[in-house]
Amino acid sequence: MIKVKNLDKSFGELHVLKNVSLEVQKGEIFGLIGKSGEGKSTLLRCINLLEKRDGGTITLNGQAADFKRSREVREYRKGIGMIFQHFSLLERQNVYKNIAAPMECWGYSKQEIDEKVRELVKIVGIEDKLYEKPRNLSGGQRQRVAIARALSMDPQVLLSDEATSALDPQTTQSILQLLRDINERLGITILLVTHEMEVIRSICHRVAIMEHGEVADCGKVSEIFLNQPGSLKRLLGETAEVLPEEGVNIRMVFKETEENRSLIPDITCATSVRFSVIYSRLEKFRDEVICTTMLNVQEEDLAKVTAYLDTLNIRWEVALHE
Amino acid sequence: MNDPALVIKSVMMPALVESLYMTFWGTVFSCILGFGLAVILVVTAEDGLSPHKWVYRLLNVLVNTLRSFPFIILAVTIIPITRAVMGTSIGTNAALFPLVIVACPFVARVFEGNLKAVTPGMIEAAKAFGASNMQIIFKIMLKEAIPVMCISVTLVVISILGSSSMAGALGAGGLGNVALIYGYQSFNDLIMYGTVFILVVLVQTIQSIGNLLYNKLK
Repeated sequence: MIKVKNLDKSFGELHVLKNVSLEVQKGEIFGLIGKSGEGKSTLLRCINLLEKRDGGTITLNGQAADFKRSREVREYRKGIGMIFQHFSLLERQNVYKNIAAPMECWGYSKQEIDEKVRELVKIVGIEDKLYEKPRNLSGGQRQRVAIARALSMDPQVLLSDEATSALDPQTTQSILQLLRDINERLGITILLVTHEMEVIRSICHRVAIMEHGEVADCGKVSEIFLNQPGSLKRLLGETAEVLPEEGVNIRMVFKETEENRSLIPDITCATSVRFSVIYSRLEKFRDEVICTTMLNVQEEDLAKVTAYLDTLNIRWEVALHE
Repeated sequence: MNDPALVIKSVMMPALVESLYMTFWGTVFSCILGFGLAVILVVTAEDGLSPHKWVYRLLNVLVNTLRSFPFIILAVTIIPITRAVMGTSIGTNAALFPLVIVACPFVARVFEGNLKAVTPGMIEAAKAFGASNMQIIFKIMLKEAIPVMCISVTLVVISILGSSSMAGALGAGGLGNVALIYGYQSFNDLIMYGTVFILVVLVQTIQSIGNLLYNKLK
């Protein structure tokens, strides 16, 4: 759907994007995560040509985004909806006018606009706010208006630039649910940029972690969390875990399935090793559940336990002390 | 000249009409021209919709130069141009020309500020949905800036009213002329302070209307 190849971008001396390549598939929700200043927003803005790239190619549905005339650029942007962190609504216009703005610019008839606006407010759930001004709405409602506006041109892709970063956790969840709903019901591909892991966890199919203007790791969200690459650890910021000084600590990460629900007693039975469980927690990734468990075993039992884990294909690593 | 009723009827009223005439048309013309200049300044600026370094610099210098002239000096300097354009160099119509020339760059600067104050996010959003530069200027920036521009216009009206009083010294007629000739030079305090009183009332009224409009529109 969207193919970005060898994208390069600098702002003066600052090299923001270095040879970035990624591919977003049709119908998926793709997340770009990284600390602020890692170039993810710039990447997003390069995709809809709000920012000029220095090198590389961008293709949307096989069509290269290289245009000479401004009219072509505008036509291209029309097919890509975008939402922003601070909503970017017209403060003096009511909700209706805000949603209608793109259609007015593209010369739609009054009747077409009216039908579309009424349909969109239903989708985003703000039917009762049609004639309110943005300043009378809450953050979540404002973002809903922005989403409706972004959908008004029937885009194939929706770009979201930190759309939930200015919202409280509860509102964030409701907006994420709306985005997921739009993705599933209208089949709109979503490419979102965020610095919140929660966003990636709740709705993304795939994720790319950006570090210093490069894509450090990219893949299915649950896979990335199972593999725990260095980029992910750096992003999560390794919190100093309180671990026993004696013995060896093993961190296991695995999908929550029927077979390994009784993993702990299974290990004991199979290896007859005594060990202690330091902690075990479950996390949800979209619809998958991943379990992280920390064991503490005696030095001499380490080989036995890990050999058994290997037969079960369970990923493990030795956790080091701070 | 000491009969207040006669003074009001034969001196003050015609002068008031002349002042309002100059202020009204001065505002209309300078706002139209100034708005055009402001749009060009905003669009061609480095961070504008379509940056043009040289157009911007040239205009910038022109605006600054015109704004440096004291009104009286400018009005005298451009008398030949005034005569060529308006056909005369005396009277209200002749005063209108330098009034507009002086107010224009002022209006351009104030409107430029108003248009620039429109949040960049809105402009970005409009670009993202494929609005053209024209649509961004008129449908986004202008529409969002209208309330503050009302305040600016109020400022412009009052400033032109002030300049037009000064134009009285150049034979333009109006309240300034009355205050100067019938009041100050004739040692007639009634007329001099009477005119000032009328000007105070005018300024108050204009400012109130401006504020009212702003509150309605915002």
